[in-house]
Amino acid sequence: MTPDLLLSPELLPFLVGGVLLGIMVGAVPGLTATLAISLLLPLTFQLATAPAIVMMTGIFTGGIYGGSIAAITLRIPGTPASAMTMLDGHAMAQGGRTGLAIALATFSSFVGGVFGGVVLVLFAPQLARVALTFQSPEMFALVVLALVAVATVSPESLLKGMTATVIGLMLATVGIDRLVPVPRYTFASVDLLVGVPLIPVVIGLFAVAELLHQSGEPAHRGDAPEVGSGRLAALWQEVRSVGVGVWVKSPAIGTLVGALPGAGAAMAAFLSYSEAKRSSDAPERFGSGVAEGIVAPEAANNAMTGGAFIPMLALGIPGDAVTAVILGGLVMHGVTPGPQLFDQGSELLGPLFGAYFWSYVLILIFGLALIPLFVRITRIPRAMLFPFIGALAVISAFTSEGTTFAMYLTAAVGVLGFVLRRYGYPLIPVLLGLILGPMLESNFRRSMILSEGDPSVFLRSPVAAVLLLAAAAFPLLVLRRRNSAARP
Amino acid sequence: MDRLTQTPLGGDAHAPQLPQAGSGRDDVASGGVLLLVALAYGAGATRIPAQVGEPGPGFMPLTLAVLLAALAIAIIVGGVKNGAGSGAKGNGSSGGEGGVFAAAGRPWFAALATIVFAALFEPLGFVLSTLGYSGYLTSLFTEDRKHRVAVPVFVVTVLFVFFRLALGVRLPTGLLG
Repeated sequence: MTPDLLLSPELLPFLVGGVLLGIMVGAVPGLTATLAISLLLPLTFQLATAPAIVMMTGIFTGGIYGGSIAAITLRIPGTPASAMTMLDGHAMAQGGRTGLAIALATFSSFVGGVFGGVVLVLFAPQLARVALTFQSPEMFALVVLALVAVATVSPESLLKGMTATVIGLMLATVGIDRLVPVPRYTFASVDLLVGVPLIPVVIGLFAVAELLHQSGEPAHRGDAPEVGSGRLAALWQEVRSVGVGVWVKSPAIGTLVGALPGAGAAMAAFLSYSEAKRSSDAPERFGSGVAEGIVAPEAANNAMTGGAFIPMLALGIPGDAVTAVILGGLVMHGVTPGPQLFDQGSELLGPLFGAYFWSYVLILIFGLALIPLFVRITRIPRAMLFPFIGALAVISAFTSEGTTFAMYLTAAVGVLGFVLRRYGYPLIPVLLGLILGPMLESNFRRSMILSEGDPSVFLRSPVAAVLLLAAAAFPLLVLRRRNSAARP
Repeated sequence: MDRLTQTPLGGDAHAPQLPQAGSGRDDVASGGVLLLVALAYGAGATRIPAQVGEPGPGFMPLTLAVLLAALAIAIIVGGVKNGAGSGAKGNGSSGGEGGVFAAAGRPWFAALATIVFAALFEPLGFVLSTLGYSGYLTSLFTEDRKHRVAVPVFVVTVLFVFFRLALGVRLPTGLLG
């Protein structure tokens, strides 16, 4: 199959509109590409199939990239996937290098997206077959590795990182149990029957908690003056300073994780960041504004977009929430994803692949061109910025769930995030625990059911055994490095 | 000078400064709270019906409760070792920004305002409730009266354009309906 990567000129406006909308929505905390596509799905019914697919692809890729803008400029991840970018991205911005941070995120997104697209075009059917071999034991082991990795690489103490992860996992147990219809920790609340919704938690943990933190801070002394904003030479210098290993491993991790149904961009970013830090010569510098801390998660979560299309197109299984909505859109337009799509060929694969690649070219162009505008965000006085963020965040929570319960939840989680931060507990592991908790538990219990209660099922699978071994070794390796770094 | 000054007239000059982090004491306090949470959570887990033939819906909560309790005890022990009694700074294992009770009251007022905003969002409607909420938040950051009026109006206008007109989201009209 030779994809037609030259998008027809008449489809370009739909792609440009989709990418810009995706970036805008992704940059707003609480609004996600999933929401944008869901809201625009009725509009796409009035379009022919090809323009609809092109537009949805643009929103998807733009939305994943857009999350990094708020993460870098406001310390509030626009999407859960950009939470890791926030660590070094915002630190770099505070050092007067907002433009450089955004340029790095943009370039990394481009590299990751193109990598994911190449894999998608060349290896989609083969990778889909590999993804099918990941059954419950393997998925459980992968989730354990992701959770341990993020808890371990937290700059705060290992104990507090693990505690934060457990708190997130506990939040994930709220609601009706997924395997047996039993309510857990719902306190007779109808709103909690479906569990703790993700978006209000993201907004609360980061946007509201940041608002509370800032309201208690003395007068803002101002970030360092912006230097070398957006200069390509500075960008190229930073690109070269990041090891080849990071540029190769990060998109690879993102694509592979994206190909696993249900894994999602957040896991891709977390794993990639953790690996980049673990393998770095100076892991203690992560979190202080190092280029690798931006490149790793952004390359991974954008490569994930290509990977997420693989199970969707080849198997009809969505890779994450956004592709689930896109899949619905495709079906409504009469496209049936599945093995036959590649075997028989489809005239819609060309526009989709073309839109995918060209969307990342547009992201590169728009991202670099809009740097001066993004930099100005950091110059907005707190007295204007935080009231706006507060109102926007809480109303976004209302919009995402359609209930005022979501607003209460956002406030409560905001207080939780504020308190955790005050006592030195990291927030990102809480988020990851909430996201991955359901996968962890359901895959564990399914494995135990299928093996009739025999726990050795996790060791009988070579992939699961290796992943669990890596999860066990990760904290030991990190602790050993920390101890040797602490020695005089 | 920018009129929306980053050093409002005397307002933030009186802002309470955060005290030095008492890391050991903070760890003991936070560990203690977490231990209580673990016990309560674990008690809830024991009430979840067991299931034959598989770990059941109570397995994960019980496991997490035990894990949290263990971690909480470890944090408490670490806090005691770091000199919780003397309030001395720890060896960096806690890294907190300051005890919650020592922090300024403004974050708590902001939190309460957020809850009140949620409660009044539908009864009062988007416009009035957002004006009030953003107005109060503005007052936390500046004492300039013009900004206390201009910023909420700006916030309501921009958010209305964004949510209602751009995204087509229906916002409650409340008293203005």
